[in-house]
Amino acid sequence: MRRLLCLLLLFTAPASALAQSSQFGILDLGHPYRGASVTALGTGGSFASFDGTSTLNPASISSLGGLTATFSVLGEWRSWQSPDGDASLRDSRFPSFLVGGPIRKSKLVVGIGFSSYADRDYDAFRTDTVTLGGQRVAVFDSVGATGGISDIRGVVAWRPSPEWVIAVGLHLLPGSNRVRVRRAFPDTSFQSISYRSELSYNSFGVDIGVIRRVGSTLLLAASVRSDGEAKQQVDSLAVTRIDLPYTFSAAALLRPSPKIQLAVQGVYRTWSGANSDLLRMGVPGSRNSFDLSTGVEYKTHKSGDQLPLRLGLHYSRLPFSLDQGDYPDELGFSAGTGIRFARGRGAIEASLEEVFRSDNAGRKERATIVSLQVMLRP
Amino acid sequence: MKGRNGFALVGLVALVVGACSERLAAPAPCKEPCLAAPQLVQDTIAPLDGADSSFAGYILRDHELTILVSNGLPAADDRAYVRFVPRATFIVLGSDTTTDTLAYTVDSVAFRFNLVVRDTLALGDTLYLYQLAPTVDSTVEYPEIQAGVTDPTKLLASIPIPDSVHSGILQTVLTGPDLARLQIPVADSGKLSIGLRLGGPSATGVILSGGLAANSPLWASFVTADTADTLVQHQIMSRAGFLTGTRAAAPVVPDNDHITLGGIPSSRAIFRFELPKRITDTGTVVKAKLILIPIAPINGLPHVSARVAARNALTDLGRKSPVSSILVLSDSLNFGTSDTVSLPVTTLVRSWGGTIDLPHILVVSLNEEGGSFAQPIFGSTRTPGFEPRLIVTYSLPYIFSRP
Repeated sequence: MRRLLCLLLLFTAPASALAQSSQFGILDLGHPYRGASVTALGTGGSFASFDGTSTLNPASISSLGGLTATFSVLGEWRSWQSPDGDASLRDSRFPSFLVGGPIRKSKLVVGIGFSSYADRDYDAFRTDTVTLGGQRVAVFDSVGATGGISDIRGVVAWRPSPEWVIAVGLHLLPGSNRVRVRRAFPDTSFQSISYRSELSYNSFGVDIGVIRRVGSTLLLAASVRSDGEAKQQVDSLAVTRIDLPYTFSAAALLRPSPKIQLAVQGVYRTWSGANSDLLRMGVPGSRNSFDLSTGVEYKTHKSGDQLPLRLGLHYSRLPFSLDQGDYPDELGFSAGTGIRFARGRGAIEASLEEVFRSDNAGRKERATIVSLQVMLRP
Repeated sequence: MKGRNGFALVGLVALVVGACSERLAAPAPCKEPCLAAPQLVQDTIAPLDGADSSFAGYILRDHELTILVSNGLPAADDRAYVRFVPRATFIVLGSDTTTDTLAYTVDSVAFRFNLVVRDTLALGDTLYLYQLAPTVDSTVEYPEIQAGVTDPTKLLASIPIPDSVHSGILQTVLTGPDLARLQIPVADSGKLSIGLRLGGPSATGVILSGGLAANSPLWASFVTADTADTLVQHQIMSRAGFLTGTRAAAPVVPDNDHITLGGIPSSRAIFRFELPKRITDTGTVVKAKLILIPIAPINGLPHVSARVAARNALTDLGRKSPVSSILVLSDSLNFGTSDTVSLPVTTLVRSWGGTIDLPHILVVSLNEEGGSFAQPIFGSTRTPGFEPRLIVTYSLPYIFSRP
């Protein structure tokens, strides 16, 4: 009964929350999701290729020892500085959900789930003046969007031998942005105007991944993913197509001792493929991005999984900019841990990240991100 | 950790973190065109050629709610008349079965008027009441009234208007010898008409309630009936002024070359426009104003507001086009100047497209129609240099094709 109640609490929680995602993602498709679970985020994302609840490498699902359901929540406190003004923002999201596990009497592990692909939630305002009939008129603009692109995936991993895992994943990438624009005037003789529209996206992706065990202390992983071409519609009217990137990842995990795991990971995404599509739409465009991360996990408890200490850092080159050429970078430091309960049938993983983003135009963003992941093994 | 505690923790985390949803607005991180906004355009649109005209007769003469009386006011030198309901020549007493008539003697007479508004800075004004021919009616003209109100032998009473009184009741009572001024021959069957003139040290005017208003002019006679019955001996015979009117020394006659508003009978103007499709179909009007340029200084009663009003025509039936209940007003007219009059017609012009789709017609009138000394005359499309125009600021359709 308690299990049932707990599951009910999880599944009746709102699937998405109103939020303010990074300002650096408001002009294009949104702020991209890194594909790392809460467990992996504690190590700077570097364990994502090996962590079964992360979405980066489909082969990582093979690490699920039994039927597992995970659900994560994220709280973010951000401060934003730009030449046009500063702000303190808060954000909550539910970035991922997964159900998966091995199929009995087979070498297959399967999973389905959803996660965020790109977040584009924002509310922004600005004051300006425009010239009308030779006179300057003050205006107050507010623009905002709610939504983003989601990643619904199904994964099958095959373990032909203890050393190898090969996996393939299929991805549906639906998304929508409910965009609103409003222009108001301090001069009350003008009436405000507002427009609303819904932009929707739809794409299909596929990825393959592999994990190779080398000896008893080293794991190597690699994956390739193609996300196809997002078809964009404006209020159900097809408008254009946007190339989504190929993603290449490679990672290594070393276990020098039973208590310590070290990992490094590199992820490269060909977002420049969308550049021409975005420029055609009048937004600054995109560039290829990469994400480098490294981290360590130290097992502090005899049982291994109880209260491990995770530390990590990552550096990312972000794909979207606010001005042509002023692309932002991201540097993050993270820590994490987790607890097991109910004889290992339940777990909560937690991570704390401090992320710094900045571009060449003087815009800076600092975020403190607290992530929690609930894992159930009924 | 015990299993019970673990599951409780799971629920707590889900609820607490899930409840921490918040959206806050932030300063936009970049300016246009990085973060797009609706583009605004301003167009100046002239009425269609010959489609701006004024028409008279919307409030007919003697159908106004007010009467105007002035004293050499540049805006209008007005006199007024009031014809009262006849006073019976005897008092009727009756029951279910009997009817008696009694003669009476007038002890005193009162005249009461409701002052609607006057120049708040005017001093020493006096309202003069003169007895006119009892048969005065709507056909009477200014010269006839003027002749009556300048004949000292016809003077009934004068009502000094206290300088501190800007509105309210003005009243005078005739008693004793003064009562003799009011003579109603038996042949007139109790009919009484009076003329009104304003006197004072400076040119000014007053606006009084007319016969169609709630506080219409009143003539009250306090009489003693020829009877010993004290219960019916003292009577008050009150009669309202049922027919009232204003006559100007030099009434303004609207002409086809100009736009004339107000006056008696009142004039209105109709302006027809043709807004481009880019405004009505795809744009959104954020501001529209109708500009009217007087051809001469506008005169009126100083310190008393007069404004120009505009409404939409619900359908195009020419001068008889029905108008919407929504109206917009100009600022109060600046008397003695030729200042351009601007009407904020944004709300009205917004109704010219979309689902409402009213005809592109503005019906303009004086807000205090029939109750103002002001009678502004504006230029029309046939008056070079004084043409009316509609200035429309609108936004172009916002392109949402950006991701």
